[in-house]
Amino acid sequence: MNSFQVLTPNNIEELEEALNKVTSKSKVLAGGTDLVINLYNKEIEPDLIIDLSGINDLRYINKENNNLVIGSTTTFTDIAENELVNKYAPFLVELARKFGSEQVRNRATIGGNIATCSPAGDSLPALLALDATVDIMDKEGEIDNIPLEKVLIGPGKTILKNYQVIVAVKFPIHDSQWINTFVKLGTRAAVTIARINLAVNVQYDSDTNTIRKAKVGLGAVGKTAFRATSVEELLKEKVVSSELRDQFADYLSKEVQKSIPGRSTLPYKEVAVKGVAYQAFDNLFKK
Amino acid sequence: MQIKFKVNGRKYDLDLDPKLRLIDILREELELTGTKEGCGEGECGTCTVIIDKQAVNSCLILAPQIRNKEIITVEGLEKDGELDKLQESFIKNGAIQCGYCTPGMLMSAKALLMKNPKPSKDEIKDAIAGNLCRCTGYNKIVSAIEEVVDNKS
Repeated sequence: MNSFQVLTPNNIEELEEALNKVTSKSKVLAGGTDLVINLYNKEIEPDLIIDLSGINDLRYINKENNNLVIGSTTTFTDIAENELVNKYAPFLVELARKFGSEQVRNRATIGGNIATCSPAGDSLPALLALDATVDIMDKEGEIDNIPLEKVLIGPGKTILKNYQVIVAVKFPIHDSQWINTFVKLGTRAAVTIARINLAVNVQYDSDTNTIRKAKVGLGAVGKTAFRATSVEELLKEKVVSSELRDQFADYLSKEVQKSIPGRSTLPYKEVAVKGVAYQAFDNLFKK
Repeated sequence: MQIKFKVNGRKYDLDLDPKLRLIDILREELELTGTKEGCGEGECGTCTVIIDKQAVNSCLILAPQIRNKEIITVEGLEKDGELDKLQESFIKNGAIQCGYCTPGMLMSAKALLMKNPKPSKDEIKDAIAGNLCRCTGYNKIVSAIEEVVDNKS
């Protein structure tokens, strides 16, 4: 492995300076749970690495106006243990607890999970189901706020340029009628890449047992995680029933068929997603 | 790259190749070979050490990231020639066969008890979910940790 330079900015100003030194081969390092592996597998050969781990200003979880804002170097352990997240988006706590292992959670960052943009990235379906947006800073210190679905372009590919870095992810606080759940299907109970990820966020009127609105994020069944809009339409203004539960599973299966036609895993995933669907539905509505 | 850090209470100030991982620094530079490399990908937990009271995979941490950090390795569990309670319990409960996963298991257990002195059995299992063992079947490792928890009460 060739040598590379490492810059260790301590704050945002120094980060800006560092971003002015990048080339097309430069990389940004946060938790390292993807990058260090890629480095040692020789999948990447950077000339420069910018280490974000010393920038405390990027590691926070705040309520700002009506949004929850999470700094990009916030770890999954930080998220799993956070009261604000537990209050306003409990399925993020659910997924954070299942993410990797304790050792990985203590290092992996939410900004890194977005930037790595794995089709199976655990946080992505849930963030999509929260209508999350991403603050991206460039080498001039300019910050653009971009909807997450526009940031994720393809497997391992985001819209980020070399001189840009994710500084925060934020989402609007959903009122107390919103309930949510996250289900991950993997080959084992922990430390596993998702075969299917499902995040369901619904506005539920318990008096009339009706789903008013739904936001459904699906992952590991396509080039990137995405919102299953046909499923959201299905659930809108519907009374919760066992028929709806079956339709929910059916529609998700059709979304998988539409998303990975011809993939060798399709026969497995178009059926397996129904099990994931039933689990999610029951998590939300089975009393 | 000049890096200052602490391992098992001892201060170091070394010029290190930035592309080294923490596991390489521990084993090669400091000759603390208690920490083992298993997969090198953060999947097996064999390389687990504690940084700032948290269990982490040392194979995933690049040299510059240990600056100003306090690291504890398995060698740091022993105090004045006395084994840590966890180490004694592992031995007593037959939680060690080949011993390769043991340092990582001990560090995950130690980190757990530093954060939560009275974990439930499920919490113990979650804490070691990132540590693979090919020999013991895990039950005796869990019992060994439980015994330390019970004896603390």
